[in-house]
Formats: sequence, structure tokens, C-alpha cells
Amino acid sequence: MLGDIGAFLLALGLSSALLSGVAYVVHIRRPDAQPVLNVARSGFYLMVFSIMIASAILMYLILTHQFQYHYVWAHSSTNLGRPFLFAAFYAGQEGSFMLWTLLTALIGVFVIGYAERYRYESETMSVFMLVIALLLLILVFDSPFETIYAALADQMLPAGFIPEDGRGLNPQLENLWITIHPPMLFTGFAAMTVPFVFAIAGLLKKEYQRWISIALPWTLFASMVLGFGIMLGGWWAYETLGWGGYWAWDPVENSSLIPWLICVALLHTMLVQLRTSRQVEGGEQVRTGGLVRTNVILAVLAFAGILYSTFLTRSGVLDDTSVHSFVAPGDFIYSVLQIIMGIFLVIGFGAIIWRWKDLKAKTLAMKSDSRENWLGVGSALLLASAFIVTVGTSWPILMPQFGQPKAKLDISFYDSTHIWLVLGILLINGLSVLLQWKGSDLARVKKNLGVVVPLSITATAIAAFLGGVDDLFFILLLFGAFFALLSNALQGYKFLRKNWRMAGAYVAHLGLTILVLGVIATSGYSTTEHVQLVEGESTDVFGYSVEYKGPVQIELEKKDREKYQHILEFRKGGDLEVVRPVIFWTDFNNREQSFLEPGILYRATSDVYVTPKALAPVGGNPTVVLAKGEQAVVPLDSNYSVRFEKFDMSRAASDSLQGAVVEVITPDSAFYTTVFRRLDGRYRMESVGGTDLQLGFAELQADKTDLAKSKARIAIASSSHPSPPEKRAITVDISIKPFILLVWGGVMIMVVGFFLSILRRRRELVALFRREGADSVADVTPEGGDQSDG
Amino acid sequence: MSRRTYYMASIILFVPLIVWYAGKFSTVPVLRFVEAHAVADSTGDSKKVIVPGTIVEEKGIEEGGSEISFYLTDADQNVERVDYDGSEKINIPALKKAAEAGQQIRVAGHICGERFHAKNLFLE
Repeated sequence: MLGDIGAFLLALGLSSALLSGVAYVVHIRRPDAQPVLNVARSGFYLMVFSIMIASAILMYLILTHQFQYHYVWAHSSTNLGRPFLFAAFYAGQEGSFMLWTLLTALIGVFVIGYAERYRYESETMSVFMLVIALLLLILVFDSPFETIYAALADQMLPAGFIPEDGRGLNPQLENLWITIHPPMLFTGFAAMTVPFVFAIAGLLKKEYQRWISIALPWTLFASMVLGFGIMLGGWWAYETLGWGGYWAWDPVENSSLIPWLICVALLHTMLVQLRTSRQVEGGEQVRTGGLVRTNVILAVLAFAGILYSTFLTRSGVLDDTSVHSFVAPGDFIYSVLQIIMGIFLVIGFGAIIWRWKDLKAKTLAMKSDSRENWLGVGSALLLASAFIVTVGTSWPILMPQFGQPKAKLDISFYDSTHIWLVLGILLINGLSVLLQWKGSDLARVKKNLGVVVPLSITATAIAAFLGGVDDLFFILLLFGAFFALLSNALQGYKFLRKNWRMAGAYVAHLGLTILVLGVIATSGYSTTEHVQLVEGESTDVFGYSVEYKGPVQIELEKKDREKYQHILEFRKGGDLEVVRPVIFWTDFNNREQSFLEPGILYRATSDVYVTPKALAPVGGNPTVVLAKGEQAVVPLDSNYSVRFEKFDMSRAASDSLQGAVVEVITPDSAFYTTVFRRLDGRYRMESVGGTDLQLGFAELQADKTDLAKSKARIAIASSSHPSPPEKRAITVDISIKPFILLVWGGVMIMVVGFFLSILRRRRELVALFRREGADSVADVTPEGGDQSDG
Repeated sequence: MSRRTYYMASIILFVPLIVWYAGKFSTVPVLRFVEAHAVADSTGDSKKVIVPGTIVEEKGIEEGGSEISFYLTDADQNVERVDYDGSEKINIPALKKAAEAGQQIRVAGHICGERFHAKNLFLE
């Protein structure tokens, strides 16, 4: 019943979004028709209400474990804690679209008032409603409210069947990061709609300059939130996924990075247009600044990047090339997302082509020593990065088009290209902040360079010496990072003394340079040792004496898993610290493969990062794995061989015992014996008459697809060649990650910088529009000659 | 030349250059089954490989739902079962014809236990 209401609300949301969109389009043509505008607004609020209530219903169904709904069954379970039940809302494909739609609708509530204030409502909201309508269209056809009987119709479930429990979350997602990272990422996705709709509105209204000022705070917001969301994903990966890093150029990571790079390029080119719009040409004041075409194109591309990202991650086209195992293939989503991408590309580029001749910068050519010139070059490098990442990420879907197998590019492709791009971006960033808008006083630039360059060389030399950096690329990158850092610190300090709000860009750039320093340190100078740690024995690694103290089972209340913390004691001097990497098995994947979580010793200068690799005892009786008919020489005594004849399941039902019939071949004779193991895995070593051997049936390695190929692992002991006692052991990679804190700290500083810039641009916008008056559509470039670009 | 001409020329050069450069990092090795097993064992994960070979016609081509299975003889005359469940729909009559004619095909995928799990099939 509730599910039906939810599905109805989604359909109602779709209808009202379409109604609102159409009414807004009519209002563009008939601006005096207030009733039409009222219908458009009512439709918008009805759509928001529908989505909010539908979302609340889905959340209620999850919290109350209503497993008759397929989505609830597939992504939640009774043993999930409250935070993970909330996260189950967006753990699957339908729910993540629901979250995206909900966040877009909520952002719409802010956009509608904002756009109204600047007389952009009908133009922006007509496109905005189309975005929401298409998201709702996906939800109507790929509904989270589908019942389990409908979703699993082919399994002929009896009417009224309700599973006792759900499948639960992918255990790797059961981490508090899931409550932060996806909502942040989807807020970024939703926010990216705003610059796009304002760009289209600017084209419709022929206000090629004005939309820039209005959309800039939103572009900053979208960059901030999406960038932060991406990095939270990296943080999550570092702390829980156990592959030892925070960025792997995985297609799913890349697909969020592409729109972010375009968006960051866009906000820089928007600044150029804003700053070059008050040029004087022949004594006449002109309005449209430089890069006017670039800005509308980038606004369209940034939004298209979001759709393309969704297409890559949600359609399943990268299903066998991404480590993100939660992507689910779907022909429907594949087709719908292609159509949606097509619609918005046609709308975006159609509008640009329509206004192409009008879209001209009415400004002087940029001087080569001006800040705007170098901001343009820097943006070009950001776009080059976006293009490279797009090519690399799309490679698995490009290759089959040329008759080649689907293949992922080696990540060295990204590293080898970005080492140059990042260096270029850092140098241009450092230089551009020392330059002035519209042309520089070269004497002043030389003076600043005279301070910054020697300091950068000195800092590079000290860092290279202390860190043992001897690779030329890394030395160049270090110089680039210090050059940008010191240039921004110098300029930022000047503005900070005048007005802290003006320092946003410099703070964000400082964050970027600190992030790059962290990336250089962790990617270039992390060291790893692969060691096997035996219980009760100490091993020296990186100056620590490391002792494995054995496993401790955790989360005992959860019956669907067997989870162990492996206690490793790290001693240095008199200090003792404990690291707890985790290995666990769950019913989620039928316990076929273990899940690994790293253990981390957090340090200000370098983390000690322990990645569990395998559990394998040392010592004990040797074993041989044999298929039927296979023979092996006894490892302890080459006079004997054993041959696996067949399984004996005659006592399985009565005594819960599985048997293996083994032929023992001695120099003089050959005879058969049967060894048994209990169904729970326990077994006993049994003496073989006439020899000093003991055999045990250690494991049945079943081949589920062809039982005839199943194998037996036979343990062998010899009284004349005693085996060493068996001890627990864990194999781990122990890494030292130098200055990883710079990566996280750099991101946080960037976020603060973005936030300051948003505050500044917002204040400027309000002040300027108050000055120009409600009816004016005049230029809205800020007055004053400040040289900040925050 | 104007600045715009430089930009346009840069873009025109940059795009194919990057595509060409990317191609150097996309190599799916063409191997025999023995080598494919060795790669899977040594790396611990199922690296994607291509194995060329001919379909063993006598063992037939099984169709089960979205999966197609057959046996493939590689250059070493080793025979392994291949399970295909890629997204591309396979023309079964064409595949049977290739089996009858002893025509070489290429399977791209991973070693999975004692089977080859194919995601792509290519007729030579």
C-alpha cells in the first residue's frame, strides 16, 4: 500500500514537473501572464512535495524492514544499524537516483527564489524542470517501490511471500563514510545543474554577461561540494578498502573527476569574462567580457559530464573494469541515460549554435602579461586533464567499437600525462596570481618573482634533501608546488589584511598546493614491505618490532558474518601501539571470498598502513591437493605416494562425515584407506596400517559447476619425520605513507577557500544588483580595482 | 597567426595525440591457455587476456539463458571450456558455422578456475 503511494507520488512528481516546465516555457513567451507563472510555481512545489514524501516513504519502508519491496530486501537487513539503514536509501541504483532527484528538487527550492530575484525564473526553471522530469522518468520506470513478487516474477514466488530478512548492504559499504560520501557527491551532481540552467537562460535572454555574475556563486558551490565529495571517497577508500591508497584512477572515481575539472575550469573562465567586461574600446563602455563562448560551452559540458558520469557508473558498461562492485548493469538505464545525455547536449549546443553570432566578446584582446590570459591557459590545462581522463575512462567502451576487447587502460597512462599537466597548472597558478588584471606592472611582477622564486628553490632543495627526493619529475613538481604555494601565500596575505573575504581564491589555491605536496610524498615516497607475521614471534619492519598476537572475533551479534581483528603490536623504543587490520567473511558473497580492511597508525608526518593479505598457518602437517585419480609423493618421505581415488559420502547423512578414499603406495605394496572429516571442517589424523604415516581429510574443494572435478586436500604426518607445530600467521603489507595528512588537510583548506569565495561573490552580487536597480539588465561586474580573483 | 588559430591547432593536434598515446597503455595480452593460467596464478587476480583458438565442434555449443558455452582448442592443442556472458549478443549460427569450418576465433576474458570466462568473442 505504502509502496503504491510512493510510486504514485513519483508519477505525480513527474506530471507536475512536466506541467511546471511547460508553464514556464509559456511564461517565457507571455511574461505578463501571472496565472501561468502561478501554475508553473505550483507545479514546482507539488513536484518537490511529491519527491519529499516519496523519499520519506522509502526511508520508512527501509527502517521498518518491509522486505516485500525488492529494493528494501536487496539493500537492507534487520541487523543493520540505524546509520546504515539510512545509507541503504541510496545504496542501490534506484535509491541513488532517488537521492539525486531529491537533492536536485531541494536545490531547486533555493534556485527558484534566487532566479526570481534576478528575473531569470522562467528561463532557468523551464530547463531545471526538464532535468528533474527526466530523473523522475527513470524512477517511474526503475522504481524503488517495486514489490519483490514483481521484481522476481521469474522465480514464481508464492503470493504474499515476505522474506524474513534482507540481503543487507555490501559489507564493504558498512562504514560510516557511506553516510557522508554519497550524499555529498550527489549534492555536487545536483548543484552542477545550476550553472547549466543559468547558461541556457543567459542564451535565451541574450544576457551573455549577466548570467556569469548570477551563476558564479553556484558554480563555486558545485565545485566545492563535488570536489569535497570526491575526496571523501578517497578518504573512505584509504581507511577501509585495503588496497593501500586513496586514488586509483578507477573509472568510477574518474567519472566524478571529469565534471569537477570542467567546472573548475569554468569558474576560472567565468572570472575572466567578469573581469574583462568593463574594457573601454574607442571610448565606449562595452559589456561582454572575454571567453563568452567558452563559458557557455563549458557550462553545458560540465553538466553533460555529470550525465556521462552517471551513464558510466550506473549503466553497467564498466561492470568488469571497475573495482566498484556495487554498479549494476541495466539495459533500461543504459538507453535512458543515452537519451537524456542526447537531449541536454542538443538543448545546450543547440542554444549555443542559435546564438553563436551574438556570442562575441566586446572587449580588447587579452594582453599576454595579464592575469586573464594566464587564467585562460590554466583553464585549458584543466580541460586537457578532463579530456585525458575522459579518454582513459571511456576506453573500455571505445575499444569494442573498433573490434577490440573491452580493456581498461593501465593507470600509468594517467600518471604519465598528469605529471606534466599538474606541473603546468601549478606554475601558471603561481604566475597568474602575481600578475594583474588587464595588464601587469612588470617591475612589480619581477619584484614579486624575485622573492617567490628563490624561496621556492630553497624550499624545494630543503624538501628534496630531507625527503630523499632524487627523481627529476618530483623535484620539478615540488618546485611547482612551492612556487604556487608561496605566490598564493604572498598575495593572499595582502588581501587577508584588507578583507578576509577577498582571500578565498588564494586559500583554495594554497589547499591545492598542499594537496599536491601530499600526493607527491605519498605516491612517490611510500615504502612497503610484504611480511608474514607468525603468532607470538617478533619481526622487525621499518624500525618497529611487530608481533602478531592473534585474531579477535568482533561483531559477534551479526550472524551473517565472521569478522576478525588481527592484533598487531608495534613497538619502538618504549612505546607500544596496536594496529588492527580486519579480515572477514559474510553471507553477502556466500563467504566465497574474504573482505579485507586495513589497520592504520595515524601519525602527523607518516601513517603506518597495514594491509592484510592472507591467513595461512606455518608449520603443522604438510598437505597435498588431489583431484580424482591424481597422485603425489608424500612430502615428508619420498618412499611413499598417495593417490586420491574417490569421495565416500556413505556416512554423510548418518554421521555428518565426508570421506576420501586414498590409495597409499609404498615401495612394496599399495592399499586403500578411507579418511574422514566432519561437515563442520574438523578432521582427525588417522594412522595408516603397516606404515609410519598418518593421513587426514583436511578439505573438500568442491567444484560447484562440475562435481566430478572436486578435489581433496589430504594432510600427511609421519612419526619418523615429525612436522613442526602449527602456528597462526598473517601475511600483510606494511607501508609507510609519508605526509598523507597533507592530502586531507589540502582538501579541507580548498573547501574553506571555496566557501570564502562563495561568500564574497554572493555579497558582491547582492550589492551590485541593489545598485543597478531591479529593472536594469546592465553589466554586473564588480566595481573597484582590486586584483583578487576569489 | 592569431591566438585563436594557435588554440584551434593545439586542439586538433592534442586530441589524436592523446588517443594514440592512450593506445600504448591498452594492451590485452594474446596468450595460450597455459600462459593465461600462469598469469592468473602469478598475479592472484584474473587479468584479462585474449586466447585465439578453434571451437571443438563435436562438443557442441550450449546456450543457457544469457550464457553460451563451448570448448576451445588453443595453439598448444589444449582444450578448455569457455563460458561467454558478455553484453554483446552472439550470432549463434555464425558461431556454429565457424566451429564447423574450424575457423579461428578469439575469446577475451579471464581464467576462472578451470574455465575461461569470456566477455568478448571475435570471429577472425
